[in-house]
Amino acid sequence: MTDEKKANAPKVKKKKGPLRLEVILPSILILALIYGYFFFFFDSHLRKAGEYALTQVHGAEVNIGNIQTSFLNASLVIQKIQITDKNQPERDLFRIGEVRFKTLWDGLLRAKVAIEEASIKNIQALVPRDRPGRVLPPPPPDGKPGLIAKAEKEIVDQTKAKLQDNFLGDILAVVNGVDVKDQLKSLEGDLKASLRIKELDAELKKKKEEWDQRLKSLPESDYFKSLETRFKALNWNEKDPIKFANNLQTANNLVKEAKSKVEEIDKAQKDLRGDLGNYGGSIKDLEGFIQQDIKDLQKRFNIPSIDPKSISQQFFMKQIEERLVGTRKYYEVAKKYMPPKFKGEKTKEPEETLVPRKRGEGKNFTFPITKGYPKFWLKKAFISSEVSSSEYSGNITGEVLDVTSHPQYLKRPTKINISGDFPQKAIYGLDLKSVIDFTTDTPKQTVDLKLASFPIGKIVLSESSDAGLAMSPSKAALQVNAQLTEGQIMMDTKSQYNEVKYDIQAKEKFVSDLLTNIFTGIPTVTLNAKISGAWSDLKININSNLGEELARGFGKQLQAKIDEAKQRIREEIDKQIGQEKQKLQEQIKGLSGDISKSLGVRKSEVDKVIKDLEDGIKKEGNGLIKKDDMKKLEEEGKKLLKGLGL
Amino acid sequence: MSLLLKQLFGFIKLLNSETGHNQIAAGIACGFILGMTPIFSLQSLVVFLLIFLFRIQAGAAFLSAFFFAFIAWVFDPIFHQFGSWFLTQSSLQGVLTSMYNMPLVPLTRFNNSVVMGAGVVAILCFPLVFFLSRLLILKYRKAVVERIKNTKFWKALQATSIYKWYYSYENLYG
Repeated sequence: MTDEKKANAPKVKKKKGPLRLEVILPSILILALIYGYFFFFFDSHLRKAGEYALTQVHGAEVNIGNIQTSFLNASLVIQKIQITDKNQPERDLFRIGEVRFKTLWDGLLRAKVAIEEASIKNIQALVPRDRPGRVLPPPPPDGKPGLIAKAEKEIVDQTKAKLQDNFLGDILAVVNGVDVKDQLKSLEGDLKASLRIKELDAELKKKKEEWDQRLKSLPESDYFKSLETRFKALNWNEKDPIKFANNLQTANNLVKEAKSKVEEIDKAQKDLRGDLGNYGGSIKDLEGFIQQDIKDLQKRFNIPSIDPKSISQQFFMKQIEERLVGTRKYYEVAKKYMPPKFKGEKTKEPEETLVPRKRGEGKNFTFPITKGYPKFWLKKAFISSEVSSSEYSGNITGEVLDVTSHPQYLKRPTKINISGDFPQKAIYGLDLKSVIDFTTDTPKQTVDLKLASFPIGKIVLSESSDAGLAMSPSKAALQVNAQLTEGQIMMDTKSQYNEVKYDIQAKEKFVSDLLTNIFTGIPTVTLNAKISGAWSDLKININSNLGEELARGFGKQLQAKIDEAKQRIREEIDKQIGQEKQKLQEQIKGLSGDISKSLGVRKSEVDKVIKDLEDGIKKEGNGLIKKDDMKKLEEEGKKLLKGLGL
Repeated sequence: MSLLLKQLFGFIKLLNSETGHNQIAAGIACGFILGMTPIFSLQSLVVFLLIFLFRIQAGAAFLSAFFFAFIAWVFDPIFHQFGSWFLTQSSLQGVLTSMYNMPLVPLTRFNNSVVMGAGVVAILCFPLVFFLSRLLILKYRKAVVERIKNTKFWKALQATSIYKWYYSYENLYG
């Protein structure tokens, strides 16, 4: 073959194999670029994305100092997290030195996040920032109260109902003497007892009319006379036995008729006794209405109860309210992130909308986890912090155990144990133990918090124009044991305020002196509260030595004045409703007398008629029907039967 | 968009060429699986890798994925019902539980009713789509391409200098 021929021959393309070998080099290049990106840029991009996302969630600037990720170790280290205080942007709400996570590759390959060990180091609170943090504008209000606002309102409404405004002022008003007489004059229309008497009066009038009608329907003397007349009209000299027998039958019918009237009268008497019994009961019940009126008026005239429990409740309800609101807020927020209550709990089906549906929504089925890990499992996280130059730093140690998305599978409740001190802030003996147990079908969360000593500011116990009382303890101790179970709370809180100084303000000097004398001897104040029940119906029991001391301090003198005021109310009520009550009693008595008398008369009349009729029948029957007549009657009867062929 | 257009032109060129009917059919079949899968999951990644490593026509794959995604969207409720039925079969609970606890397998999101429904349909229909598309390509080439090539217009076009220039360019730069 010549060169020319070779050149003109068609080029035969080399057949390519099934693999794209030409992509090897570009692939290596791409992989190198990806590696380069993750090596040089990924951590800083993740840090920026994390800062942005956390800022949006928190509503104020969140800074992250550094993030280090490791693909091979499946680990993540986040350093210097600063969370700006929304209310005071010039400081951080929290500052965390370092957070370290290390997940298991075995779990990641199963699409599960299993963190074998994590650590949260160097936690500080309320640390001043180098520059004020950015606070995002709050979202526009939608006009509806939020879930937390609703929950807070539910608590506040309940505590408010138990609080008496100006409690101390009211006590002092009683010390000065209360005159309820004038105020009571115009109250007649508002008294529950008075209203009840009027109701009873109206009922009684109606009943009297009914009884009058009923009496009319009962037989009277004319009727009894007619019975006697009808009896006398019978011919008892009748010789014809059939006619005589008819007369006898008629006489017996008359007796029956009279007896039926006796039954009617007996029933009426019984009913009357029942009605009178009811009215007697109503008169007795009036005492209950009077007692209620006394209570209402006591409240209306601000006459306080000075038993230790009431005083403690009035002084410390606000403190307890704050703790309850805090717990409730925690509960509402935490509820969103808690695992489902029950196995197989059904979620509400989404409503159909006109928006075209997305692809691939479907439904995710879960299967029993036989080996491996739950979807998320933080086995153990250490919390530690040491005192540094910052006055907000502290010696904190703690651990968080078994945070998981499937506690029922793990059968391990989440436990949080934290203890430590903040010496520079004079906070000592912090001991927090919390168990969040979703391993059973009845979720239970318990919190045991102890604070051995901490500084506390001024606590206002009572504030009014007449008198004010506040206490400033130098330090306090706190113990809270709370248990939350399906909307039910059981909280036992004990506080002790030491080295207490009192701030007493009163318009009148003798009041100021009185209060100063009482409180001087109370350097330590204890506050014990037990709260139980559903959030919507809380039973709050507050006790404090302050209540006891105050009750003792005010002494018998104040109690006597309160009793006197109560007695005056009682007397005034009695005076106002006394006449009505007496009138009502007389009416009932009248009703009883008139109707009873009338019924009694009729009963005796009808009894007499029946007796007369029965005596007449006996007399006439025995006198006229003799043995010969009976024989004659028998024979005539037989003849009659024969004549009929029988 | 330009990538999709490039793939589309490549697909038309390949459809009208003399070779590569298996590559095109495999591309359409892989695109069918991609289109049926509602979300990005492990199986999608595997299909992408196959397209990348083997001589599967990527244009055909992406075009058919685009096309089948619309069809799958219509049939989603049926896939959901079928997937739910499949995932709740008592006889399969053992296998599915084992799969749920295996490494990597949960990344396929097989426990989602739509993924499972569409996935089963896609795998069962994959050979059918492959052979059907192969058959249609061959028929198209015989019935349409050959007929056009025998027309006077095509022969006249082949004789033009523009065509010769394009042909030389194609031979040189592919």
